[in-house]
Amino acid sequence: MRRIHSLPIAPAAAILAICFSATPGLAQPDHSLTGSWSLIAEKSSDVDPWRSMALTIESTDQLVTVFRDLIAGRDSRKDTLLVPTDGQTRSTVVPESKKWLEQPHLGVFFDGTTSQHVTGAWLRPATELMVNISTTLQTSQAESPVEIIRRFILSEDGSELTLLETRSSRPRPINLVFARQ
Amino acid sequence: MTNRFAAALIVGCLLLLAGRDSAAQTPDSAFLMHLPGPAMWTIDDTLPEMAMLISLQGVANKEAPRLYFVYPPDWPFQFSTAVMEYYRDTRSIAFETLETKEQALATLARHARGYVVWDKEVRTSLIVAFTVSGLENAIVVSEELIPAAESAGLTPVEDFRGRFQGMSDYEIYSWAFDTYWPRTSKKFAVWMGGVGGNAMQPGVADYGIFQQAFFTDLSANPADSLEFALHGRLLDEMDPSAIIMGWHSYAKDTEGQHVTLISSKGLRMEGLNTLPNASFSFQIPATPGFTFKNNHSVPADTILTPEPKVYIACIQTDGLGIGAWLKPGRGTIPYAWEVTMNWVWLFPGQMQFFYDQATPNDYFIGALSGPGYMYPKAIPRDKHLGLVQEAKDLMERIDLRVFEIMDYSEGNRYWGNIDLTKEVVDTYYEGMPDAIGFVNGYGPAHTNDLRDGRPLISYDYYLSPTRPEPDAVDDLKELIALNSKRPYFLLMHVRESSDIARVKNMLDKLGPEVEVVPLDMFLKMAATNPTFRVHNLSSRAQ
Repeated sequence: MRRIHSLPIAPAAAILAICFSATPGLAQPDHSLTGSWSLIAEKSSDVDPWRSMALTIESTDQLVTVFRDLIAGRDSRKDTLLVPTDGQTRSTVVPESKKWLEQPHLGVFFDGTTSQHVTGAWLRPATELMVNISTTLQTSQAESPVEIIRRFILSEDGSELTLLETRSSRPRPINLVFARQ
Repeated sequence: MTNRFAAALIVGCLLLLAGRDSAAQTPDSAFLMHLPGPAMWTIDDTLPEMAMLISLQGVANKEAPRLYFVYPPDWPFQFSTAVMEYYRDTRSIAFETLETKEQALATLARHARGYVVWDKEVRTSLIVAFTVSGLENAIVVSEELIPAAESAGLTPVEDFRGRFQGMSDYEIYSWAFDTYWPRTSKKFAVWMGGVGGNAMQPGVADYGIFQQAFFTDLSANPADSLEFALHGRLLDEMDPSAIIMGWHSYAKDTEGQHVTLISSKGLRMEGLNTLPNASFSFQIPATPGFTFKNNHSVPADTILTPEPKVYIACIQTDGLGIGAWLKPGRGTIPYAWEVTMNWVWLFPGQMQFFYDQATPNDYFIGALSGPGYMYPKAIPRDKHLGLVQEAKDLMERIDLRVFEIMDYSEGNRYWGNIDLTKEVVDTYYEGMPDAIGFVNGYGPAHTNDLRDGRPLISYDYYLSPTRPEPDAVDDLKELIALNSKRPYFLLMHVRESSDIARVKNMLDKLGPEVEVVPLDMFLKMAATNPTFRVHNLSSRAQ
């Protein structure tokens, strides 16, 4: 198997997270990523085939949970991402949905045995979260490992959430903007 | 009894036994009408008049192709102008334009026996009225069009005003089934589906009237238990080789449910509800001596060795006529086109239109899963091989070497799987020994195979018509990165509404490692160096 390339963001995120978590005087903002969010298509990268995308984010001391609802035509899909923020890696088996929800129009699948390894860190407490996902995709040729980095960034006024996704396999990042519901 | 009369009687009996197959002679002249847009015809706007005119077409064309429509530019099938010009230029048909419905009625109502009134308060009454139209040679009119029909000398044969008020579709169709089913064709039925609500696009109604078909839009959604049961009963009573024309109702069920139910009876379907001028084109033969000849880029028995690069083959699906055939760029890159194979006997002149226009870069492939649109995992096992062999015979008639399979019986491009079982794959290899290869899917699928130098390859990319070009380029680059072996054979499904100029512009951005090749060459090279994994579902779902 060929590893496409590794991204140096994860170590940096860890260092930043340690720095921020160790800054006792840093004021906690009165808003956070938690809550319900709805995609603003006009401000976002194209998400075809999804016609709507909604996130619900919950947070505890050491875990952020991102619920995602996707709708395409009459069909809808849901998934959940559990992000540990205590420096640990959370490994789970990806349920066999066959399609890769990030881009169902690509011949990329999960086979029901694939593990997904997730780490996370707050870059700014409660308002900017970095998530590193390491997984393996099934393609027509072989298994192909992929590294995914998601940055959840809250706007200054707390009304918008930007999700910036970088994949080791994709030339340009995907930029999604959500409105607080 | 004279010999001539006896011969005519025999021919007539054969036609009755076989249903009405295309056997007419090209006319010297015909009438032409331009139907207004926009194409979304609604009950309170243009639908009543359009329905009347289309029923007039079905009735008037019963004995000869007399009336042809040019549909509005936004009609799903976009070839009505081009085909009319083709008939005019190659068959020397002189078209005389009719400007108004009054003119059309004055000219052609003499071919009708009367009119049937449908109830604008009950949309389904129009669908039942189409059945009556075919059986009684009547045009369909709503109340306000009765004077126009009577001015043309027509008298009522049926009146549905108030008849179906308060009744469900199940109740209406049950009544229609009891009343008309014994007299309607068992070779053709029409699902007058598509758009719902207060709109309808009954382009294919003329053909159903012509064939005296039963019209309905019964649901194939098992949750609609009553309609589903009646739907199944109706299909059970069709001839084994019957064709279900039209399309499912967007308001009731899904394409997957509709075609699954039809396939489960071993029947086949031909879309869509918007298919234009079928009663006319049914009677336009291919020119005498014409042979359907495909643009093969390599001999069937050739062996090709690929280079270590990325090969892309593009296929436009959804049949001829609703896609990019007449849009910019055709011929500039190799492109494969899914052919609705039954057109060779249903609409041979129309099929010839496409073969005559094809450039060396246009390559036709057989579709879809059988002799018509079917889902192989839903077809009863004891019927599948015979259907595949029927499809093979159609392929031979129109010089096709590649066959396309699609199955939405267990999923679609958003969910579930559209992969094939080994038994299904076995049947295609057995039933089509001369095919040089097979393609599978609609959205991407995972079924791949290679036997005796004949690959079966699933789509690796679905180019959505709404995907912005830069994002589609990134999609393809991502696939190319994820499939790192070379050669990489990337089969791309181009949804029908993307024009080729857009596709070419996108492919040009992929760099020198990528080469777009004709589908037959693609399959031949894949057979030599199969870098894909053989994969299919382990067991049949049924």
